[in-house]
Amino acid sequence: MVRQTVFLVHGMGSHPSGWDKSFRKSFLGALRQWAPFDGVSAREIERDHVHFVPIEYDSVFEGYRERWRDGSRSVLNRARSESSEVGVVLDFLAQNAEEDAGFEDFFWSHLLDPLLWFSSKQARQACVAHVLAQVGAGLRDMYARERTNTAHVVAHSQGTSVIHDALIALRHWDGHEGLFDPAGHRWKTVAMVANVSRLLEARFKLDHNAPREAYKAYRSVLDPGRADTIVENFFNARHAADPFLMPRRFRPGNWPSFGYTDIEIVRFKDVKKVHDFEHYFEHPSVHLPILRSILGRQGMGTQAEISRVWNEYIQRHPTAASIEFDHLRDLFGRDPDAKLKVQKLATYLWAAWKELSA
Amino acid sequence: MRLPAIASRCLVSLALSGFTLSGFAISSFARPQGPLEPESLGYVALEGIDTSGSWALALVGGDSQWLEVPQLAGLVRHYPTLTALREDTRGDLQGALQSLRAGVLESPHFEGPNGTLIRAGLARGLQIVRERALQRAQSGLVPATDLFQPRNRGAGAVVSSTIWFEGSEHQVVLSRIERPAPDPNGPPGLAAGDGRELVYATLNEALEFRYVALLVEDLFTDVRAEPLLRITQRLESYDRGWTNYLAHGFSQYPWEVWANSAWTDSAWDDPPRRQLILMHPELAFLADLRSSRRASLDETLLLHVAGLTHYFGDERDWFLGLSASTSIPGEEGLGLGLGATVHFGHTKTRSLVPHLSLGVVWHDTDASSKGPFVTLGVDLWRLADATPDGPFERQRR
Repeated sequence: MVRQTVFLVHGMGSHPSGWDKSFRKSFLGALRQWAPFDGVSAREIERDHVHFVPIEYDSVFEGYRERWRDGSRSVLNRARSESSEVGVVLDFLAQNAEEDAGFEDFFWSHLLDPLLWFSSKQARQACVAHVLAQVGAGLRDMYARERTNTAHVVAHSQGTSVIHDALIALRHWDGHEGLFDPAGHRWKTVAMVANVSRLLEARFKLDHNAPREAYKAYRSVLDPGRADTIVENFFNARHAADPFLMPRRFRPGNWPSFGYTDIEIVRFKDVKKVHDFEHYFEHPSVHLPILRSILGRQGMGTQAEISRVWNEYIQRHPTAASIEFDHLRDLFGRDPDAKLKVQKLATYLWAAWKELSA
Repeated sequence: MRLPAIASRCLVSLALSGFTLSGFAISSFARPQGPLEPESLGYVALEGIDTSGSWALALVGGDSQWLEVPQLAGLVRHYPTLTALREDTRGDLQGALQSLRAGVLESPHFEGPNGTLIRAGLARGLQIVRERALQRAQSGLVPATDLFQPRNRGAGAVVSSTIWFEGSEHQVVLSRIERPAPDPNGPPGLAAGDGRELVYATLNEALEFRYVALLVEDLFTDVRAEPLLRITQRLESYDRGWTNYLAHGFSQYPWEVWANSAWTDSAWDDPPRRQLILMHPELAFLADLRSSRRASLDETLLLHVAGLTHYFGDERDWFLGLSASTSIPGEEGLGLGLGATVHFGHTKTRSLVPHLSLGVVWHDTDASSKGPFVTLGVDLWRLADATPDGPFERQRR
């Protein structure tokens, strides 16, 4: 039986191996609410219908993180023992860290990744290369196993920006021998959950083959309406109260309805979880269209099933978003197209994170 | 025979005579407006077809359960088997596609009102794939099979999961669903899947169409295997190049990372060949070699003010660099030193100190004389690496 190959891409922050377990659980848990998968075990679904390929890019940032965080502590401590001036600086940093509790941890665990991705050309290029090595291996396995193209992408948060650039880079690469041009390969589904590909748009050229313009979120070959698109169905899911999406929402005005699906949700159980993949994927308006596309079952989800799943969902998620985190928009002067500088982005991400962790 | 069916057959005859059915050529659109409506191609929606049961997936789904239905064996008897097709025709893609096309044209199974159109679409698709494969092979490109990938289009009111040759005059749609409007009290924008199903092919036609598409896909999978192996090897090589540069190359302080991002040339498929060295501190041993009587070994802090490193090899296997350096010795009596340092390293060596910095600096001494000292540098960041493999590799093992 042909299995659909789903490339999962994680979001920002540290993701040690095994990170994909919660993604798979969300995906399979959502699928098992709908016939004919309602009586099927998760293991059987993975055996017969869906094959997951986790794509990580965290090890690239983890490299910087380890070297700079752990390395700097080690190096500075060594220097501290030999120099009183270094000791004074370290004490000053420690005092400030206490005053702005959590910033240092947040910086290393969450902020470093998007900042490096956004501001360092080499970090971004290394990341794209690392992701494409895994994508290439995954596609090769897929063709060997299924003997046809069953490739789909489900990405979250920073992963939406990473996979966005990676798929475009693969398309424009001059070494793919035609295999990844639109005639050679198209992604059946690209599902962007909490899409920040516009917020973290590339500020520099990533390769020698394509202009920077090719990586613009609204003008890339991921637009399913372009004649040279590499995507059949593009899903964009956002939560109205997700603070990470407020500065620059992904909402293309002229993408076609037959290939592009825009999903906005408003309900939540805990407002601090609104950015989580699991929180998004619980919503039937998010997971059902994506699952229909991935499983190739457009008829999935009868009216009776939808009513049942929806009623259960709203009982678990009783609140609808209204003006949560609205004040954060002021940081960008409520201008969704304002020029984005690294410092501004860092300030915003820190403010958003403080709100979510308060 | 119903009138629409007769009309549709007439249209096919015209099409096969060299006329287009409607002037819809996908290449003429700057921006495709989506799949064509089946009715605009002369298709007839079949009524009274039982769409329940596993075989119905042949009409609507991306699932392959339909391959297990018993009817399939009888339907495809006159096509070469998958194995035979692979073994006999691997070297003759053109011949394999030609024989499949002949099988389609001779098949007795396209018997429904849309049968002629579906058969013509399939035969035309095979012909185009064959012509394109030839053209692409001449241009050095891997033959493509996108035409035989069913498209799964739309998430709104009208959807189809089985469109082939989308937007062309020989587009084939096996079935589609007209969904009811979303329930205003239900989840936003989510229409139920159990809407009206419009079927355009009989079971035999759908099974045979999908089986031929599967044979084409299977055939091309073999054609694709070797280039795909080359491509994945190249992608892995780029990744290794970046890992060598970042993890085993000459280490970089944060300001150097940004400086190198800004001022050195690189691409995701071309890891940097050059690396700037900028205000880079390094612990070093200082050897006074002015005479054998004064020979000593002291610690010093070297500051490589500016320099350049070059990486060699496809995967940035080793590097050689030169920097202008200043030496700040711990020993009293030695003043600031100035000199130059050569940096060398093999990025594939998994050792704690993968590279050496060897330099000569001139220090002022107590005796008010300047003298050459030799420095041997140690990479502080490498010493601080917590894991034997170093950073950037933890999850790759």
